[in-house]
Amino acid sequence: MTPAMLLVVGAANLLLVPAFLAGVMRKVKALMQGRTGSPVLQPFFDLAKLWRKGETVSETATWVFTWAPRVFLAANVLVAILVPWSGVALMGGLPYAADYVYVLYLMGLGRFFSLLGALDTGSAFGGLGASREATLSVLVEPIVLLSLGALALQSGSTDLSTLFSGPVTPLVAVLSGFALLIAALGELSRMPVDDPTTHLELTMIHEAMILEYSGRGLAQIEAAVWVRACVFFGLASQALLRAWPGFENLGGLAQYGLGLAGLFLVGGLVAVAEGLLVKLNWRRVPHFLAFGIALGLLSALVAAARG
Amino acid sequence: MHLSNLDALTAAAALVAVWMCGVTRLQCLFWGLALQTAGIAAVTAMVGMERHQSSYLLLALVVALAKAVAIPSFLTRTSDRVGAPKDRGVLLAPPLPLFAGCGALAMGFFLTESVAGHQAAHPGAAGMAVSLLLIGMLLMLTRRLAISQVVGFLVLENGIFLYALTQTHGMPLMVEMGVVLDLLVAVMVSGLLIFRLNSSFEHIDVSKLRRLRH
Amino acid sequence: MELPGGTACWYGMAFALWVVAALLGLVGRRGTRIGLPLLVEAGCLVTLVAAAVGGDCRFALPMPLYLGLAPAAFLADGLSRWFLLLIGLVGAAVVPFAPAYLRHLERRVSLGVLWAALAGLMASMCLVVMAANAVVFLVAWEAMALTSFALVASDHERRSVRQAALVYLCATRVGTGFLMAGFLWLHQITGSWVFSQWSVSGAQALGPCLLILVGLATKAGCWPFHLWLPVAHPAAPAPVSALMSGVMIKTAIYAMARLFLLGPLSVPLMGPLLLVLGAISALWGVLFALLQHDLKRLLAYHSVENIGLILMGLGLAGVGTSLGSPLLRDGGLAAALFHTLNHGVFKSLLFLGAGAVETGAHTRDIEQLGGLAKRMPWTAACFIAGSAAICALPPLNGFASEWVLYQGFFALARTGPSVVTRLSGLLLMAWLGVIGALALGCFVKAVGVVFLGRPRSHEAAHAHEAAASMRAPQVLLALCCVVLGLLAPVVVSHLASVVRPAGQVGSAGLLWNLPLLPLAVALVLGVLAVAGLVTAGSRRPRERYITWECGFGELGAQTQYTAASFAQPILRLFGRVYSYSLEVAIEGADHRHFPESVVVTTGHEPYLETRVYRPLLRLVQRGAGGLLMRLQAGSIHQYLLYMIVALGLLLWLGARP
Repeated sequence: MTPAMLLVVGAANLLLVPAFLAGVMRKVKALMQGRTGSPVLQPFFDLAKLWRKGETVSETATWVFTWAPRVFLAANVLVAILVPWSGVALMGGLPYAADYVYVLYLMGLGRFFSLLGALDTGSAFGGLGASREATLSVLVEPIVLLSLGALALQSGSTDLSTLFSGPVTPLVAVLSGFALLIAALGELSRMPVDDPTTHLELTMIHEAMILEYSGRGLAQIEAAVWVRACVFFGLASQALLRAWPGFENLGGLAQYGLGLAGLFLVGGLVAVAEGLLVKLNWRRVPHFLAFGIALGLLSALVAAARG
Repeated sequence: MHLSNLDALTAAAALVAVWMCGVTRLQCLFWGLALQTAGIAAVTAMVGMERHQSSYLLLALVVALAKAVAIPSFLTRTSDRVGAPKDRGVLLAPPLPLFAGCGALAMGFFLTESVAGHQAAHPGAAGMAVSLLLIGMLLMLTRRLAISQVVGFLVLENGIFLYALTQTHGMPLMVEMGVVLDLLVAVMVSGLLIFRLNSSFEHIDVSKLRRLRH
Repeated sequence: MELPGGTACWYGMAFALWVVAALLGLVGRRGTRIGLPLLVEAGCLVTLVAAAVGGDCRFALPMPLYLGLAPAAFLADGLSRWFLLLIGLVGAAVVPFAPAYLRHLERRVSLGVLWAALAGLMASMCLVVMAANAVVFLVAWEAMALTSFALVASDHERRSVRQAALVYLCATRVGTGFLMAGFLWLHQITGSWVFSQWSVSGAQALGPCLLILVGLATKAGCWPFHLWLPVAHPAAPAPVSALMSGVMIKTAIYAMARLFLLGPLSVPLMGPLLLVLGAISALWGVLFALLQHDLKRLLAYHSVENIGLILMGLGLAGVGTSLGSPLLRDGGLAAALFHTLNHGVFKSLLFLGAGAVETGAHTRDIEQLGGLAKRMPWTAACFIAGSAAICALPPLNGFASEWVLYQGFFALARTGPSVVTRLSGLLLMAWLGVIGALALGCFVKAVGVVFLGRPRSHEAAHAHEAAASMRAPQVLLALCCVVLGLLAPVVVSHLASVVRPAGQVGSAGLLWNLPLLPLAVALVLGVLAVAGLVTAGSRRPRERYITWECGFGELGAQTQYTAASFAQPILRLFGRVYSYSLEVAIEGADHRHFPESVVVTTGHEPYLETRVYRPLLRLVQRGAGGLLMRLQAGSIHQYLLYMIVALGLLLWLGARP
C-alpha cells in the first residue's frame, strides 16, 4: 500500500470503524431480541452528545480521576495504530513497533489508570468493578500470550506486523483464533462474562467501574472501549483468517477488505451469541475462560512441536 | 508437518475429549462423546477406503449407530430419570482437569514416535489414541457420578479402538463387531446398575461409596 | 577510565568515610541529624562516581590485614561495578530520606548506633561485591548480616521487632552455614579460595553448588527460603527496608551470577533449577502480597516476586550455557542484571513512600488509610510512578527489563532444540503474563486503598505531607525509573559487554529491537493531545458533587471497597495455594431483608510455615533440645572442661604430620 492509502486506512480505522462496529453490534443484538434498535450510527451521536454535555465530578476525586481516561484513551489508540487488526499494518515501516508483549503492557497501562480512576471516587461500585476487571485480566493475559506466542513461534518474530504476514499452520491459526475470541469476550466484558447493557450496577464489571464518569470523561472511556473492541475482535478474526492458506498471497486491499469483513463477522456473531446466551454467574467466569487457556495451551503445543 | 485429513480428524476427536474434561453438565459430556465417536467412525471409514476393504464401512456404520447415537441417547435418558444434571467433579474440580487433559494430549503427542505401530500408515493417530486413553482414565478419576465414569470408560475404549484400527493391519470384522456390541451391553448393564444405585442410596455419587465400609 | 588518584583510591575513600561515620556514631550521640548522614551520603556518592565512571581495578590490602587463609584482595570488574552502581545509587537516594524519617523514632532508638550500623552495612555490601576470594567474601557477608540485623532490631523496645530480628538472625545464620559448607567443600576439591580458580564441573560440583545455592537463596529471599523477608522488612525502619530489599538481597544475586554463570563452575542442572525456583518464587510472592494489609509487608512479598523474576533470568542464562547458546545466556543475564538495578530503584522508592505514609498518617495498615492523595500529593504521585514501574508498565524501567526477559524466553521457544524446551519457552512467557497481571491487581489495590477514595480513619484524615528532604529522594528515584526505562537500549548494550569476557562481543544487544523511545514519545504526546482536546473549548463547567450513593444520603467511608474485598476474587481464584476460606454470617430475626450484623471471616493457611517449617523446628527442638540441655548445664567448670578437650583435640589434629 502507498503511504497515502495507509493514511486513509488509518484514519478510517481510528475514526469510523470502532464506533461503527459498536453500532452494528448493538443493532444485531436488538434484532436478535426482536427490537428495532437504535440506528447503526447511534454511537457517533452518543459521542457527540457526551462531548457537548457538562461534567459532574465527585468531591472525593483527585487528579487521577481526570487523567485516567486520557491515559486510557491514548494507550488504546496507540495500540490500535500499532496492531494490524484490520489486516493492514499501519506501522509496518517501523520494525518491532507492534511487538505483542509491548502492546499487551501498553493495554496494561491503560487498565492500571482506568482501575485507579474507578477507585478514586471512593464508590463501592467502582471498587467492585475494578476488582473484577483486575481478576479478569489475570485470566485473559495467559490466553493472549499463549495464542499469540504460538503464532509468533511460527513466524519467528514477536512483531505483530511480521507475525500476520508469514505462513501459519491452519491448526494453530484456528486454535489461537478461538482462544483469542474467548480472551476478547473476557477482556471486553461481553456475554457470557458480563452483560454490557444491564443497568443493575451489581451485575456489571466494566459499567460499574465507569459509573462516576460523565460528559467528556465518559466520552473518552467509551471511545477507548470501542477501539479496544476493534483490536481484540480484529486479532481473533485475523488469526482465524490465517487458517486459509491462500490469504497471505492476496493483495493489500483485498486483505483489508477481508479483514474488515472478518471483524464485522466476528462482532456480529458475538452479538448474535449475546442474544442467545445468558450471563454466567461471576463465579463460573473463570471456568469459561479456562477453556480459552486450554485452547492457548494446545495451540502452543502444536506450534512448539512443529518447531 | 502436514496434517492429513485422518490426522486432523483424530486430533479433533482428542480435542473434543479435552473439552469434555472441563465441562460439568452431563448433557455436554454426552454430546462430546457422540461427537468424538462420530469422528472415530469417520476415521474408520477413511481407513477402509485407504485399504479398499468394504467391511470397514459396515464397521463404521455400526460404531456410529451404537456408540454415537444409541449409547449417548441411552445415557441421556438414564441421567434424566436419575435426575442428576451436573457433575461437580471430585479430586480436581472442573475446570482444572482441563489442564490435566491438555497435559495428557501433550503426553500422547510426545510419545507418538515410540508408541506408533511398526510401519503404520498413520503414526500420528497413535499418539492421539494414547491421549484418548489417558483422558478417558482422567475422566473416570476426576468425576463424581457413576454415569460420567461410564462416559470416561467409553472415551478410553475409543482410544483403544482407534489404536487398533490405525496401527495394526486390522482385526477380523467379527471381533470388532463383537467388541462394539459388548460395549453396548456393558453400558446397558451399567445403566441398570446406576438405577439400582440411585434407588438404594438416593444418589449416584461414587465418592460417597466409601461410607459402605462402616 | 582511570579516575584522578586511581579508581581503587576512590573505593578506599568511600570505605574510609563509612568507617569514620561508623566510629563517630558508636562513640558520640551527636551529629545524627546532619553530620553522620552527610558522611554516609558522601561515601555513597563517591562509590556511585567510581562505579559509573571509573574502570576495572583490583587491589589487595597490605600484609598486616592478611586474613590468615587468603589475602584481603578485591576486584572491581564489570559485574562488581554494576552492583556497586546499584549500591551507590540507592544508598545516595535513601540516606537523605533517613534523618527526617528517623525523627519519630528518636526517643526509642539510639540513632548514633543506627547510623553506625547503616554505614557498616554500606561498607560491607561494597566489600561483598568486590571480594576476590571466598574468605574475604565470607567475612564481608557476615559483617553485612550482622549490621543489617542491628538495623532490623533498632526499634528493639517493641516485642514484634525483637521477634522479627530474631527470625532474621536465624535465617541469615543458617544461610551462612550452608554457604560456608559449600565454600569449604569447593576448597577441598580445588585447593584454592579464589573464585576464578574454582573450575569444577559435573557431578563433583553438584553437592557444593547446591549448598551454596541454599545459602544464597536464603539471603535473596527466594521460595521456599523467603520466610524471614516479610517478617524483617516491616520491622525495620523504612530507609533500612529500602536498602535491604533494594540492595542487600541483591548481593546474593551477585554471588549467583559470579559463581554459577560467569565463573568456571559448571553445573548443567543449575539453569533449570534456578528457572523453577524463580518461577515459583515469583508467583508465590505476588499471591501472598495480595493477602497483605500491612503496606510494608506487601512490598516485602513483592521482593520475593521480583527476586523470582531475576532468578528466572539467571536460570535462562544457565539453560543457555548448557545448550551452548550465547544469545540465551547473555539475554538471560542481561535481563536479570537489568531487573536487579530496576528493582533496586523502584522498590526503594516504594519503601520510602511507605515510610512517608507511616510518618504522615501514623499507620501502615492499609485498611485504616485512604484519600492520602489529597493530603500527600507528592508521595502519592511518586508511589503511583513506582507502582507503574513495578507492574512493568511502559515506558518505565520495570517494563524494559521484563521485556528483555520475555524476549529471552521467546528466543528459547524459537531456538530450543526439543519440543519441551520450545514449549517451556512459551509457557514461561504466559507465566510472566499472569504474574504481571497479578502484580497490577495488587498495586492497584495498594494505591487505590491507601491514596484514593475517602480516609478510613482519623489519622488518615489528618495526615500531613512528608518533609522536603523526604520528598526529594522519592522524586529522584521516580525520575530514575523514567530515565532507566527510556535509556534501556543503552543499558542493555552495556550489560552485553558486562556479561562477556573481555574481547568478546556480547549478543544480548541482539535481543533489543523495540523502538521504545519513539513509542514512549508517541504515548506521552497522545496523552497530552487527548488532554488538550478535552480541555479546549469546553464551555460547560465541571461541577463538583458527592459520589453517587444511590440516593441514600451520606454513607461514610466504610462503604468503600476495602483491600480485602478488592483482592477477594483473585484470592479465591488461587485459593488452593493457601486454602483460602471465606465465611459470611448474617444475623438477625429476618436476616434476609433486615440483617442486624454481617460478619465476614476470611482465612488462609500458609502451608510452607505450618506444614514444613514448624514440624521441622519441632523436630530440631525435640532432637537437639535434650542434647543441648545436657551440654549447657550452666556449670563454669563444665564449660572449661569443654575448652580444654577442644584445645587438646585441635592441638593433636594440627600437630599431626
